[in-house]
Amino acid sequence: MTIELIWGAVGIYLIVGLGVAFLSRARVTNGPGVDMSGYFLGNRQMNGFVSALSYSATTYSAFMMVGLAGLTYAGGVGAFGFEIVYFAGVSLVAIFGPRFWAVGKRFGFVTPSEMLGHRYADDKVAVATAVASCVFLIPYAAVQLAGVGYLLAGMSGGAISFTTGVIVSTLLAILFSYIAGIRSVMWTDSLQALFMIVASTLVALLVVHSLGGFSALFDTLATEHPASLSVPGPGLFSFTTFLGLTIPWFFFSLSNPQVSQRLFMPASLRSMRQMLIGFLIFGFIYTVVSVLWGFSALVAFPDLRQSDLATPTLLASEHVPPVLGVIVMVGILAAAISTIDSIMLTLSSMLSRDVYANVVADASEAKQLRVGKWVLPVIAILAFLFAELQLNLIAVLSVAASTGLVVIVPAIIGAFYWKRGTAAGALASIVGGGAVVIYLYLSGVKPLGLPAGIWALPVALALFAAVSLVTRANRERADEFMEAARIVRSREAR
Amino acid sequence: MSARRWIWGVWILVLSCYVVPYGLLGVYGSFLFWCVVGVLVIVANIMITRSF
Repeated sequence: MTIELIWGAVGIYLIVGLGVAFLSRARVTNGPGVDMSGYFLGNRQMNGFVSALSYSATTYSAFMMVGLAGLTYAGGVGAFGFEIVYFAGVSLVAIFGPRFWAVGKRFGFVTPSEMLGHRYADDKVAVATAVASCVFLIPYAAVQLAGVGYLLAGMSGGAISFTTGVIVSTLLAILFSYIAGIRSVMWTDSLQALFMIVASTLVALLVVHSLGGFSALFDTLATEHPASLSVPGPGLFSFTTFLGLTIPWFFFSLSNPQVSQRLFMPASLRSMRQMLIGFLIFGFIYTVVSVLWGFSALVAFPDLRQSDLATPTLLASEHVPPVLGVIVMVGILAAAISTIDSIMLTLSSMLSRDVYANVVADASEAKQLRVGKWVLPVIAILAFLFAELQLNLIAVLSVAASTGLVVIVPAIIGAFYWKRGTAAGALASIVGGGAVVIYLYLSGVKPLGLPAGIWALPVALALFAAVSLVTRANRERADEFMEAARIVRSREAR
Repeated sequence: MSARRWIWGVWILVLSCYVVPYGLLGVYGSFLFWCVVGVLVIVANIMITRSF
């Protein structure tokens, strides 16, 4: 694969992406008098089709074609099970989506942390949620940037340096999110999602065909790697490992603000339904393709020293023509960028809405928006520096991201279903639970032999319930909030 | 069937994701099983959100 071919493909991707970003500019994000809701939520007027593609591109990062394929290579079909349990967890959108949407419209929430701060009648809950999200998601974004750096360096045989790859992806993420806020993110996400799914599916089918077709592929697996077709399989997916991975990821659609913020955006509940169903169809296809990719690598190259090399090795092999290989490479690049820019935009909205506006006395909408736009490149530069430095702490925090964010879930569920939930309980679960997760990951301690992924949610839940029961709840605020969400519930029960 | 029943259906499905592979299929066994679970999740969500 020549360096000219790689730069040519990246160049075309850059030009088309920037063109779409500029075309997405509209009055709600770039016109006079634009406010926080306009820039960060598209004025809650996003249509279902674009929302579905954007939700898919935001959710599915470079992890799928590199990480999940590698997990399948190393651990067999258990990786498929892990991803499908996560996939089933997105059903939480069907339950909580309409409630988020209803209270978002009623109270004008811009961020999920603002919603929690309002529900528990304490700005400190909003600040704690925003800070916790930054602590775990900026390192996660940094690892995505580093992934692009390694991908371009690996595919070009070192001709494109790691730093060049990281700089390219950081600049793209800033441009895609800055040009028109959420509109440029969602429109470029949609383009990237279509590219990701079409390129990866076609090339996966081509690789399976070159290995003799589906029957031959699975016959080879059954005879030469039988453990890869059962659970726990080769041993990677022991029951505790499986639980430790799936519990935090099952709640991803609620715990990760870059996707839960999307529940405020659809123009109607019909659009939200289209977003959810569209995402599920996309996600199922992309998951099966990524797993087939890992199985294909196992059959074609059974002796790789590192499972993460499965995708790069397959892309550079004779099974994939160079032009198609570079197209899949751009698809993986698109998957990473579309996740990073959404994280950056959401975190900048949280820092301006939930931290700046709660610290500065007269923070008007215009000032909040100005701060949000200034914070966005700062977050990107932080992620870039973390990616470049490759600090051990950053690697730990990025691995802990899904587990660390799951501590927000009890406060979210309590907001809609438990009137006795208090601000002190929410703070204890988010701060205390987050601290426990960081300690467990940094120290490597496994109480009772169980990983941090299993402990995080029970610890956060226990803290939320125990502290709430010994403190006074704001019943008036709880009634008002739940009444707003009840617009949906009363009709659902019919 | 009401949305509430479909929601319960999803939770039972998710629970079965844990129990069945480790209890029984731990054996076209598990690969197809997960494919079927994925399709059922899509169908369940289509039914749940019909009332949206």
